[in-house]
Amino acid sequence: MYQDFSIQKLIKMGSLVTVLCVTVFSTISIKNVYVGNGSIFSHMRLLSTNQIASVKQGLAAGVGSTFNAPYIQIHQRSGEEAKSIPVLLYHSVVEGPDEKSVWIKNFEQQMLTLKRAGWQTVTLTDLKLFINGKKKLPDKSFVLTFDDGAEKSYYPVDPVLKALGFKAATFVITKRSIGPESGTTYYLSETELRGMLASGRWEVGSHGREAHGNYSTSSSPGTLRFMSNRLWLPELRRRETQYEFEERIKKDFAESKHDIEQAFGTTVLAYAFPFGDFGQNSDEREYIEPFVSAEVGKHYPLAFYQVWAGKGDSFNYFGQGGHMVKRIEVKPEWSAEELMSVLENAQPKQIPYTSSGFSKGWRTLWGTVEHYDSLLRLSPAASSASAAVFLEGSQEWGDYLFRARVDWERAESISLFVRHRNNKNYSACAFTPTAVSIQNTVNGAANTVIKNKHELHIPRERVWLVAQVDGTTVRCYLGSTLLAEAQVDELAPTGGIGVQVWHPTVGAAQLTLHEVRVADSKDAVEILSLMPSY
Amino acid sequence: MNQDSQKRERVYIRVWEYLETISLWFLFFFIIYIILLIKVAALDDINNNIFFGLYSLIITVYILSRFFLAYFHRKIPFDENYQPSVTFVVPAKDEGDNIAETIRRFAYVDYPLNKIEVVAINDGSSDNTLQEMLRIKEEIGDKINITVVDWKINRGKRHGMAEGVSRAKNEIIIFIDSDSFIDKNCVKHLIKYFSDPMVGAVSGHTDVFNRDTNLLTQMQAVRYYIAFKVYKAAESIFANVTCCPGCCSAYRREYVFEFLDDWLNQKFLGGQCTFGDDRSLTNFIIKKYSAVYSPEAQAHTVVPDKFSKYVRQQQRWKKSWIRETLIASTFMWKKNIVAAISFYAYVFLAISSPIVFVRALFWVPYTTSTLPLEYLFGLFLMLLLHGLYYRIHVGKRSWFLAVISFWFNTVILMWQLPWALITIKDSRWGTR
Repeated sequence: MYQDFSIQKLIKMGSLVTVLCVTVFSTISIKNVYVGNGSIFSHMRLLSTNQIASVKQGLAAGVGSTFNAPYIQIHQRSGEEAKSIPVLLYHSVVEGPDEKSVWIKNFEQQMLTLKRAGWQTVTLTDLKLFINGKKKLPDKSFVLTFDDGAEKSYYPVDPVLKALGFKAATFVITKRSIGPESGTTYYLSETELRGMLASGRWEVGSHGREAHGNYSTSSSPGTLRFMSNRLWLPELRRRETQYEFEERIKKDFAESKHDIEQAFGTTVLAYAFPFGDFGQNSDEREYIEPFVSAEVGKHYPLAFYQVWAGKGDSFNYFGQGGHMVKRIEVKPEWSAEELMSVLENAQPKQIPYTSSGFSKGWRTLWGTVEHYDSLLRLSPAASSASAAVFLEGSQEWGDYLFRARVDWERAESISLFVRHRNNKNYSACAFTPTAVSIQNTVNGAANTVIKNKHELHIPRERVWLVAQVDGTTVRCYLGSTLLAEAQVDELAPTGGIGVQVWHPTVGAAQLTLHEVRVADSKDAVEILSLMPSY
Repeated sequence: MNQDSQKRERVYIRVWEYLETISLWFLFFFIIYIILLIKVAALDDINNNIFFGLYSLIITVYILSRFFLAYFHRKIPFDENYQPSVTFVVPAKDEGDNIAETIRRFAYVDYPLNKIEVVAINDGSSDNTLQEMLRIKEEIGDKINITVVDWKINRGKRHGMAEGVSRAKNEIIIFIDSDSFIDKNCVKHLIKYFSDPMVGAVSGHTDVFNRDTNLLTQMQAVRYYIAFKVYKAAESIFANVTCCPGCCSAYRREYVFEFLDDWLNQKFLGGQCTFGDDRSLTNFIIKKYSAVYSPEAQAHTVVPDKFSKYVRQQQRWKKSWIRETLIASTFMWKKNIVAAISFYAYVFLAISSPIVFVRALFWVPYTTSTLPLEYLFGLFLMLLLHGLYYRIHVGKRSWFLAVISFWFNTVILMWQLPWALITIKDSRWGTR
């Protein structure tokens, strides 16, 4: 054989190989510390897409420099103050269209469209002060949030924020992003979060430590949520007691806050409920929901949850108080136009108000809603006896005259909601063919304040139903005729309008709304004089 | 005074060159470091896709192992007492420009001329090749014995080589291409290995003669250099060189005689084999004996300077590669285990490369809308390694441009192996 394995050569080659191995190994270890385990390539790819996207975003937004994001606004902001502020929720942003996550292209378009329409982000601190009525914010302010602390919620996103001068808050699962078990290709690492905080564009909030998992009871393994169930304790072979449940929740709130504050030295202002769950759908919601909502406020000034129908407006109002904050989850299929339309729909409405085709803001509370020919048709779900809509953005209305022109197709009773804050707190004028009553629902408990019989003939089509609320007085009219009037003591001082239809036969109710007009209560007399009488 | 400043200048130059070499070597190992980093970091990806992950790992290990093994290749000293007789065999067709110089060089080698004879075969040339041969015979015929064989009709290179072997009277046959030029010391460095009776063939080190013509030839210069100095040396450690190329190789006549007929009449898929003569002959030899590489036996050869010619040449080489590799696979497992593993690994890599290429450049970008940056970058790094090695050993020769060209050509010509497989029955040479 023609080999030369002399000592010299062996030593040379040996030391070279050793040096190479040592350097490679130490680089990988350092990299693991900094950016977590996982392919260096995916990190490099993320970083480079980050950089390329920065440039692209800068060009798209028409800004001069992407490193210094001064920006040119296309639409001047109105200079008015915001009455309410939305909080947008995203998770990850992905490269190709996906059912679960928002597409980068859509995200970029959404942000760009928001910017051009004059929207601007505000910080969590601003939000806190706004909600507590301590700071006014300009109109078209919003808060941008990302849940889970995934790498994909940062790398594709940050260049966009940089170019448009936006700030955002990321809610991390502290177990995944901080500490010994942290650092994978999927979740952001401590070092990356530190970098994000240092950039000034990001704030960090808590998304729980253990709260984002799926847990078990004996009957349903692996499918239960942390926040809304007393879990099964396998070693003790029983379910948690209420006390144990409460301690577990408190621990998660406290520990995740501590994780973040200790790692980064910041104060954590907000907690985002995993899955938006704070016990509201739980089997034991009567005590779990109030406990969780109250407990979170002891640790965090702000607690975010995703809105669903019936909780009222999806925006957060100036001075609404408390610590629970609503968020709008941006769905993967939404384009920029759809997002804008969602935001516009929820914009506060002004009095005097006229519904123009019911296009903006009319949201189902329960049942289904169809729009056709600028009318609104209300029908219940197949197994339900009633359906209801409300007008998003009317939540801050105080005293008003609410007129609705309806076709009484198939209904035993039609109600006009007034001072509607949510499905547990509202008042209503309920009209039936023979009687009118004023009802008030407080914390879910409904009671009839007054019920008057009437002998008016209610036409099938185009009949005007009217409700007036003035201070604590509620009045119900059929056309120009006053049918009921009462003082309602526990009436909410402000609240919006809605309409409900009910029929004893399940699935049978139907109502068509032609138009809705709302005027200031002061003008009631004048307007009523022009109403028809039946 | 003048002498002192001259001395100082020389010292400066030496220091500068030394620093340059150090930094080039540093760059060389830095690139290996980056390559290793990428591969180690991508180890988890192997689980995602075993085939492509393994491919990536194997090709890195293979290429790095070539450098590693080549480092341990041993040169043997020249033995004054062993000086067998030599026959140069030079088959030529339409090589009137170069043939005279090729043959002339034989008379000026550093070896006893009385032990040298030349058999030059004019294989049906249509130009002045025959005249040139006769002319050079006149010129140096008194120094060494030259036989000129004239065939009016072309019979093919293999027949030419076989004719040379039959007419040869000496112990060692040295095949030289009609457009190759040997150095003075080529003969003695080829010969010295034959003192080992196991050795049946020796490959010389051939560099590109027309290196500076254009970017294509410069790229080929890098390829040739690395193919010999690194890849053949790595094979030679185990005395298992798979191809002693026809541009400059030596064979022991006695052993060649054993398979002359089989080689001459070699058939493949029902047709006569008309190219890959050198590879084929080497295969016959290493089945029974050894083949080694002599890094000091220096020769130069002319390479295609036009892209179309180059592509055709590569196509021929790919076809003969397919045929000869199939044949070699049947007995390579009997050889030294490292040599065998290297061989089969190389076969796997060569076959998989077009598949990996198509996936990386078309499939992955199509399905994920991302650019195939990792693949192209990884390929570039590997080729950069080759280019740096060349630069360090040979010096500044537009090496970087050559690397880029190498990279380009690899990408563009990746289809050649599959195409060679499809057209393997077509045994035409194309235009040479």
